[in-house]
Amino acid sequence: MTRWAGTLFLLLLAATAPLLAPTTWRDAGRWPDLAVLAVVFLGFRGTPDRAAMFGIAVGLVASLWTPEPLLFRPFVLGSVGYVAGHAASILHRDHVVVRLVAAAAGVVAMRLAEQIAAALSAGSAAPWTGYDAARVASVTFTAAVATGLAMPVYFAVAKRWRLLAPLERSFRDV
Amino acid sequence: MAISRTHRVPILLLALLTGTLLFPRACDSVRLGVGARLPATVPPTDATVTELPREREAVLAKRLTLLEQQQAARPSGDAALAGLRVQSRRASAAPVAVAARVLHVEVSSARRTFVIDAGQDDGVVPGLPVIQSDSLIGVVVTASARAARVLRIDDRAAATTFPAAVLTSEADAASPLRGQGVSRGTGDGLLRVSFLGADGARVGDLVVTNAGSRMVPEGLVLGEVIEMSDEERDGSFEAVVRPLRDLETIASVLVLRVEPTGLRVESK
Repeated sequence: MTRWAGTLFLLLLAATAPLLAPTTWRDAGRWPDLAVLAVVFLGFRGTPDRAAMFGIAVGLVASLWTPEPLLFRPFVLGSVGYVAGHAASILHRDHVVVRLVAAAAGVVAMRLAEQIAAALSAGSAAPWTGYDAARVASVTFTAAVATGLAMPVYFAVAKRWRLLAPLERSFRDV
Repeated sequence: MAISRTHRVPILLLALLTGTLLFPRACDSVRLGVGARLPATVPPTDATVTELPREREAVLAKRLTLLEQQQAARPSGDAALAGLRVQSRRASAAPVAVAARVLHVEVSSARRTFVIDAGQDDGVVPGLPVIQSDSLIGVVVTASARAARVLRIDDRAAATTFPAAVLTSEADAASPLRGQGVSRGTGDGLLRVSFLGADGARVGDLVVTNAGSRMVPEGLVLGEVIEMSDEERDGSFEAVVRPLRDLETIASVLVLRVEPTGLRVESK
């Protein structure tokens, strides 16, 4: 049971961290996306399936305080984990730059999906202007950089304390 | 037929995507209700109360001028009677305010929403305007029994598009009304009022809601003009408006339980 305590802690932390962040920081993208970091970590140190399932679990919990449809966040986070897992199997999974790019790409995918969901939702027909696109791009870039910078610390802590050990790859999976 | 183990997760992800597209509002009120039961993350604060006198003074001065203008231009005969009938209808549908506390500012990079602790049990239904003092903060978009989701006025959704009137900031102006347009959120704490003439707004002018919205009463403050431009150079100017309230630090609001006045007006 205690093996899963760390995993449960990281799951709840990933889902609730944005809620506890200062709103101005979060809206400006100056806050690392811990959910993306968690699923990318599992994608690199676990298996694609486990990363996807963890992403779905985080997304379901986080959907309690998100305005998007119920299954939207589980789908996006699960997809990020699944793709990260497969990408890790063909890339240098231990290279810090590869991990950094994967974390940043996950954030970009997450935010792009949120913009698409907002545009598709009923009643959001406001036309995009150059100003809007530039602002969204700027905030997304900031969030990707913030998450990329937090990646080494997050990976080191999760690895050192074996917080996601039950979901990491073992000899049986090789 | 057994599903291959390697295909289980992709099929699950596909099912999630299908569910998102087919049932975008699935379990929305249940989810909102469960989320509202969690400890609030917005601390109650009275910081905004200190801003009230300045804002209220400016709004009341402009309203007084506007009422004086309307009094001078009051129509006579049948037109006046019809006007009184409409006003009578509106008076009978006087809004009742429900006080609510902000529980969570919701997590999304594309949406600007927050959850309040008043819901259908308090008469809060989708479409109702949410105010603080004289400022419009947003509109209710989803309501569960004891909680509701409010879409802020700076969100880009069409639900936060309102007819807007620009009131001049010049004390010696002949008319307090400088221009009329349509306001919508930009997604970053500001609003844009479109379809203005070249002299439709100036920096420092006050922007309020105009008549024409089904649920949002006229005269609620949207903000102050901070920039005026014609980016597309088509002769239709846009004013960038900053809300007088800091939308990020809202801790308590009032929900106006108005009836859709537009459907109640009779014409003979």
